[in-house]
Amino acid sequence: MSKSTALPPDTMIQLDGVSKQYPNQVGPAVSDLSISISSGEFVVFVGPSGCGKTTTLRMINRLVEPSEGRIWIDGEDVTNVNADLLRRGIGYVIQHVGLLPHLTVADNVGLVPKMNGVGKEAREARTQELLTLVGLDPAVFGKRYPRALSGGEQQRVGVARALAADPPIMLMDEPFAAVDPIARKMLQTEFLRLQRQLRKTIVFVTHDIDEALRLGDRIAIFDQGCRIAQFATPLEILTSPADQFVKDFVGAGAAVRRLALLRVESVVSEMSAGADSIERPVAVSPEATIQEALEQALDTGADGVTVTLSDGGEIRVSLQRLLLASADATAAST
Amino acid sequence: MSTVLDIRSSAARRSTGLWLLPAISVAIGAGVLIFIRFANLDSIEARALAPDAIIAATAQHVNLVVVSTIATILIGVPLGVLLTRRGARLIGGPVLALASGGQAIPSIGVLVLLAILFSTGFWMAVAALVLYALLPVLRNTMVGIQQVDRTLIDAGRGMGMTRGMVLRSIELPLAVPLILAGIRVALILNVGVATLATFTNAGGLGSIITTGIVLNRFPVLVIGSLLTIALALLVDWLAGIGERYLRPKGL
Repeated sequence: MSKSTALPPDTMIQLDGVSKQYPNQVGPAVSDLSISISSGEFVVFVGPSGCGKTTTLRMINRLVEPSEGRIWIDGEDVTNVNADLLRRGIGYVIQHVGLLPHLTVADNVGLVPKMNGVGKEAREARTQELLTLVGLDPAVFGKRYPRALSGGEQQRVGVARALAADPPIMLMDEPFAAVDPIARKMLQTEFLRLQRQLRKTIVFVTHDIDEALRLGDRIAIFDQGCRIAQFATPLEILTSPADQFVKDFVGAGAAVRRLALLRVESVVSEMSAGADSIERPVAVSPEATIQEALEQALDTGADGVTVTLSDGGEIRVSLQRLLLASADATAAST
Repeated sequence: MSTVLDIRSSAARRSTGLWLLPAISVAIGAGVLIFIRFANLDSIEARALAPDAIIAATAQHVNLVVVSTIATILIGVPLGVLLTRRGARLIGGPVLALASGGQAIPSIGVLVLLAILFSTGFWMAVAALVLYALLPVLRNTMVGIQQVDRTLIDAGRGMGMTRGMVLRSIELPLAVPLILAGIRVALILNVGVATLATFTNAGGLGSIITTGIVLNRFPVLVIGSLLTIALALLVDWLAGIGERYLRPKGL
């Protein structure tokens, strides 16, 4: 598997036959792993604990040195470059956030720019910009110490800090695992919004398959044998799991979960001319997922939805058609 | 590592203690001055307790404490840091055991032994004080660095800090409270042990106490002791203030 001389031009991260064998440990933590991640892609590593996903993540910024194999970032073999300088160009967010408790929020965010020799004023401007970006008022939070922040606020600062030097790549190791479910959902939503705006190449580790399905453009499912069982889009994983392990890991209700991934517009685009005849529609956005559309319809007692199209026209879609779109997803994805 | 010398106290105790200690110290000092001024002293007592003699002994004592504490910090902190670096961790245990052993030896034993082996005088007393006070500084430096949350170091390395940067901007600042507590203990130890410096001919408040004992003059003995106590309280108070203001904010 070592034939990476001609990479596709938009490949940002390429692992090539990478293995990690820790001393005094039976069996490798990661063995002969090859994966290619495109620029601007949001890739999630998911799997049971001890399956090598964190080790793989940490090999990308060389916090863990691979025992074998090559790692390419943006076309450059980084296996032998200065690891400290490499890491300053890669955002890194961890579960425990790791804000330095003796520095203010603003100083924490400015750490990497400071290392890179950015002047004080430019640093302050950048810090303000980033705190605003992650939804924290710099005037309120900038001077505070991490201790005075909630878990969710701390992780926002963690994300702002990782973004400070505007790295093209972000590595995130279970970043939202330590916050409560409500804050987690909010962080996920906001992070998705942020990502649509920033288009970073993201590698994100989690053990939560729902989080993976929600966030990832593509998902790599690691199995117990430290191999990638499947590397595919969320929809593909739900419709055609590669093997029994993936099927078990995803769990029950794949068809219903697809509802949260399919968008109303995809249903509309497949409709032949003419709307469904329904009596009590509710208006939904074409970008809404089918799940959201169904929820709105059920909440309001509607028997269908009205979608406003990009050309200004409206089309009515029945509940039944929305539901069946999920059943059709097998066909749609292949 | 059970006996970490951490004398961080509750906020309540700290705020009353902040004024209690210097108040006691000043009261003792004033009491001693009033006693000397109005008591009926014989000629030996009057000579031993003359203002010049007391000032000289106190100055010697403070000098011993300051110099030996600075030397203790200059040796203990870098050594503690060094022993927590990769590669030196294996010898950290034995060195700590050695320092603990040094502390276990009675201080007067160290002092007299050194005086016999080498010579007497100010620097020999300082050497003995340093040997004796090294343990709390060394141990608290090591423990202070070792107790830094590994995830902070991971975060620092992950954002591209070198090992030196991690030491300077994460490990050392976060170890400061424990290092300061160790230095405070060393200071207090030194104030006490420096009373023995008189046996190596280095003076200090101990010489007033021994004069009282040798010449069988009870008031002299008591005043020497009281002055030492007053000095210890004052030093502890100053160290407490130092701890308060030198500790990084946000911890």
